[in-house]
Amino acid sequence: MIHKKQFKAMGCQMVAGLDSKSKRAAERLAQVPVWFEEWEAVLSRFREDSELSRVNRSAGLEQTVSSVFWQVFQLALETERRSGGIISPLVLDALLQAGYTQSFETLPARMAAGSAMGYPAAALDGRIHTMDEALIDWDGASHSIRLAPDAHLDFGGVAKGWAAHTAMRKLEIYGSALVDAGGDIAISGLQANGQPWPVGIADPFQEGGQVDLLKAGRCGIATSGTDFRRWKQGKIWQHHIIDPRTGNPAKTDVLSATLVATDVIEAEMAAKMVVILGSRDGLSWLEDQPGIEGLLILENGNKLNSRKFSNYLWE
Amino acid sequence: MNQKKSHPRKPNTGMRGVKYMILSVGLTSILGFWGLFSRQAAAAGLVNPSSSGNNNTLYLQPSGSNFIVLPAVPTLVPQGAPGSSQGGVPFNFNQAPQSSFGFFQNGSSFGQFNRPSPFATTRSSR
Repeated sequence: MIHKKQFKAMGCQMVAGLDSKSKRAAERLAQVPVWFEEWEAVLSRFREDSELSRVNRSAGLEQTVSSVFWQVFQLALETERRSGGIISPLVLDALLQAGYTQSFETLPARMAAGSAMGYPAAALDGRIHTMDEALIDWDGASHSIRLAPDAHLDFGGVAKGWAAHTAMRKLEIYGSALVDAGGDIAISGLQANGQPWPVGIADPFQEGGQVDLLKAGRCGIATSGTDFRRWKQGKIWQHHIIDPRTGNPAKTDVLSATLVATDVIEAEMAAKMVVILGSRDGLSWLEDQPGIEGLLILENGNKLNSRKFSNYLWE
Repeated sequence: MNQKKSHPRKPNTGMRGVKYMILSVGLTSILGFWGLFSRQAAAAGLVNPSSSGNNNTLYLQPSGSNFIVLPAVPTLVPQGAPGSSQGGVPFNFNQAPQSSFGFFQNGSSFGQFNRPSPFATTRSSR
């Protein structure tokens, strides 16, 4: 029997599913929104009282952080290392500069007005700080962090992927579990009847449409794109995926990229990587990644996919 | 001459009567029961089974105004599958029932039975 729970958290629509006959399954599933609320209170940059906001406000000072903060921080470092610096947790100032100053749920009215969000239009210096510049010191023994005075963190998709993965791990004790955190999906394995979970890929050109249906066992699925979280700053369309090489929203021909990987954290990292790199370099990078397959939908409507992506398609 | 006087045999009228009686009772019984069963069969409507081509319902059409409707087994849907006929309600292939896990939602039809509705959808953050 599949139990299902839908709720909103982290500015996104969440879905959790648990295939279990256990009497405690529904009770456990009801806890998922509570977990997300606790994590959001630590990791959100849009909450003044979150731990992340506190750390960012205290840049320059050494601070001891919670276990959840530390886990996500370590994951962000690992993601930056694996992506060669293309995905950095230090893009917050660039995001603010581009106009992404508040939770996206509150942006549409301002988009319609074409406002620049009240932030000055001054350009960044054209670069993003990276970990190599020693702008962050940390100590694993005490879980303490010290940001350089001009460095600020934003965990973004890493936090969402971590939350989906962690919730899935907490649910899988009771049966096959799926947790969808705003499009980043963690799956513990096949359903109890041996069937894969059916996972749709949203059509970036048509709200509510679907371009393909995936069959998913134990894996992670994530989509990154410039199709939804975009806004107008002055006369220029901006989006939330920053290219650290320029300090600006990535100039890319990829409208959305859907990646299937071993887990959702890896899939999320790969999806963002492909969008930032663009279709040619992104697909080339993707073909060198064992165990990661993907579908790219381009601004011109064309679709490209890695060689084994069709293995995941529902016939 | 001592002749034996032969006497014609008198018919055994007693035995003959018994035979006639047995035969009469037998025939009467057969005809009686035949008639009785015929009337009961007509009253019960056990005549002329026919089927309708419009759906999967099998009708046993009686002579009277009331008739019995038996739910037929849907031959195109695996037993136990979502949408299979239950509780005497014929399955309507054009109307998709809801299920607790998302299958057959959004009006999917028989032709999409093996391609379920997504349980979740991956998309850029929203």
